[in-house]
Amino acid sequence: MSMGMPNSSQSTICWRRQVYSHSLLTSLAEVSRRWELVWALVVRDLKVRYRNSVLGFFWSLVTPLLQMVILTFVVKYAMDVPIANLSVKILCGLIAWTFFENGILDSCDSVLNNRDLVKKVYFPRPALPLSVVVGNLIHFALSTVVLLVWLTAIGCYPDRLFLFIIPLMIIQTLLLMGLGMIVACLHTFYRDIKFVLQALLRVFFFATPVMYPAALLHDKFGDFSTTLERLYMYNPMATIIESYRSALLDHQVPDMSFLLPIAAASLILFIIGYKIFLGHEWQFPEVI
Amino acid sequence: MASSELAIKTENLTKRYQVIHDRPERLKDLVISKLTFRKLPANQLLALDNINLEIRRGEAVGIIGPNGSGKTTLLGVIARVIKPTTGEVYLSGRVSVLLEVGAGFHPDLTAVENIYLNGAIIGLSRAEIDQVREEILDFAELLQFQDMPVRTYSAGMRLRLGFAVATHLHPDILLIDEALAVGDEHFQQKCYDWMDNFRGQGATLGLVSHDLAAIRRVCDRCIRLEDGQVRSDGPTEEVLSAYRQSAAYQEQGSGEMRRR
Repeated sequence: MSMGMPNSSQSTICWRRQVYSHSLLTSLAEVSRRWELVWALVVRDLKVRYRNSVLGFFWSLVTPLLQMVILTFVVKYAMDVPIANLSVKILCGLIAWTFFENGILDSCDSVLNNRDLVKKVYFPRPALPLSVVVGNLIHFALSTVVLLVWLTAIGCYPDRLFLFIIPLMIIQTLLLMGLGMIVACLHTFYRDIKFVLQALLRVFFFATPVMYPAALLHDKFGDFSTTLERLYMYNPMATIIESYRSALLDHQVPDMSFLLPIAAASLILFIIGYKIFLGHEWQFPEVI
Repeated sequence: MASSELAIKTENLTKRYQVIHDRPERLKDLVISKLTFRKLPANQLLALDNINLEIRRGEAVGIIGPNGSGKTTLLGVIARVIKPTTGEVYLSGRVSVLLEVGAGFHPDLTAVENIYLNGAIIGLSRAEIDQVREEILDFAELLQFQDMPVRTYSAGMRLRLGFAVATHLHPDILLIDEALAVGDEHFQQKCYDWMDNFRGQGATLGLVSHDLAAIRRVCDRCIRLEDGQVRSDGPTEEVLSAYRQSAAYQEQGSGEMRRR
C-alpha cells in the first residue's frame, strides 16, 4: 500500500497533557511558529475576495482614488478652503484610514466567518483576527506604492524620511491587531458590535484629519486651546495620519510628543486585546 | 503506568454546557445580574460526566450511543477544540480529527488549494504537504478535478477529499465523527482497508458512528456512552449486543441529555 506512515512524526511522539488555555507568551510563540498558518489564511482571504473579478486587486485602489477626487472637489471648490497639495494629503489620509476601517470591520467577522474551523479543528485561534489585519496591511502597502507614484508625478519627491512609514505601519498594525482582537471577541458574543462600530467609524472619519490636514484647525480656531488639541491628537489615527503626512509630504520628522505616547498605547492595546481574546476563545466553539 | 503504551487517557473528564437560548437574553441577564449582585440561575447541560478512559496505541475504538449522549463532545475535548469543565486529557502523537468532512474547506478554492490550507491549519509545513499532495488526490480519485472549486463538487467528492486529507496528513491518532455515511461502497471499502493498514502501523483510531456494521467491521473495542457517562466498555460484539437491548436503542433518537 502506498499510504505509509511518516518517519518524521513517529520520532516526535511524546506523552503530553492537552492544554486548553494559553498565556500571552505561549500563544505568541505558537502563532509565530505557525506563521505558515497565518499566511495561508491571508492567501485564502485574498484569493477568495478577488477570484472571479476581472480587475481583482485594483478594486481596492479604485475606491480611495475615487474618494480622493470627490473629497478634493468638495473641500477645495465647494467649501472653498485653499490648501496646498490637497489631493495628495487627502489620498494619504484616505489609504491610512481605509486600512484602519477595513481592518477593524474585517476583524469583527474573523471568528464568525470561520465557524467551521473554530468548531471542528484545533489551531491557534488568534491567527484569525491577526491574519485579517495582515491582509489589510498588504492592501495598505500596495496603496502606498500608488501614493508614492502620485507624489512623484506631481513633483513632490519623497526623500529619505519616507522610511518613517515603516515604524508608522508597525504602530498602526499593532493598534489594529489589539482593537481587532477585542472587537472580534465582542462581536462573536454580541452581533450589535459591528453596527456600533460602523456608526463610530463614521464619526471618527470626520473627527480624524482624513479629508483635511490637522493644521486647518489651527487656522480656523486661532485660540484652539492646547488641551483640545491634545485631546484631538490623542485619537491615535489623528497622530498616525499626520505623521504619515509629515514624513511623506512635508519632509519633516513627525511630532514625537504625540507619536511616542501613541506608539506605547498601541503596544499596550495589542497586549490587552490579545489577553482578552485568549481569555474568551475557549467559549467560541460553544456560542457560534 | 506504562504511559508509552497508551495513546489517549482521560481523567475525570466533565463538560457542562451553559444552555443558551438567545444571545440578547444573555446580555440582558448579564446586566441584571450585575445590577442585582445575584448569580444567574444555572441552566446547564451535563454533556460529559466524569469520563475515565484509557486507549492503547494500535487500538480501534468505536464510540456509540444515542443522540446527545456526548460522543461529539468527547471527540471535541480530546481534539482540544472544546475546553472541559474539569478533568484532563493526555495523549501522545499527532491527532487528526474528522469532526466533520471537509471542515475548513473553502467552497471557492480548488481541491489543491484546500489541501494546502487544511495542511496549514493542522500544522504541516508547505514542504510536508508537497510530499503528500499527489497521494491525497490519488486516494480521493479527484486527480482530474483538482483545479475545480470545491463548491462544484458533489457530497461524495467532498467526502473523499475530506477523508483523504485527514488521513494522509500523517496523524498518529485519527478520530472520525460520522464521516463515511455519504461515501459509496467502493470508497467505504477503500477507507476500511486504509484504516486496517493504519492500525497495523501502530496508530490509534476512534470512530463515532450510528452505523453499527461499520463499527463491527473496523473496531475491536467499543464504548457506549449515554447521558455523558460510559455505560459499557469492552469487546465490540458484547457492547453492541448490550446496546441493542438497551432502552435507549429501542427509542432511538429520543435520547436527551440530562438537565440540571
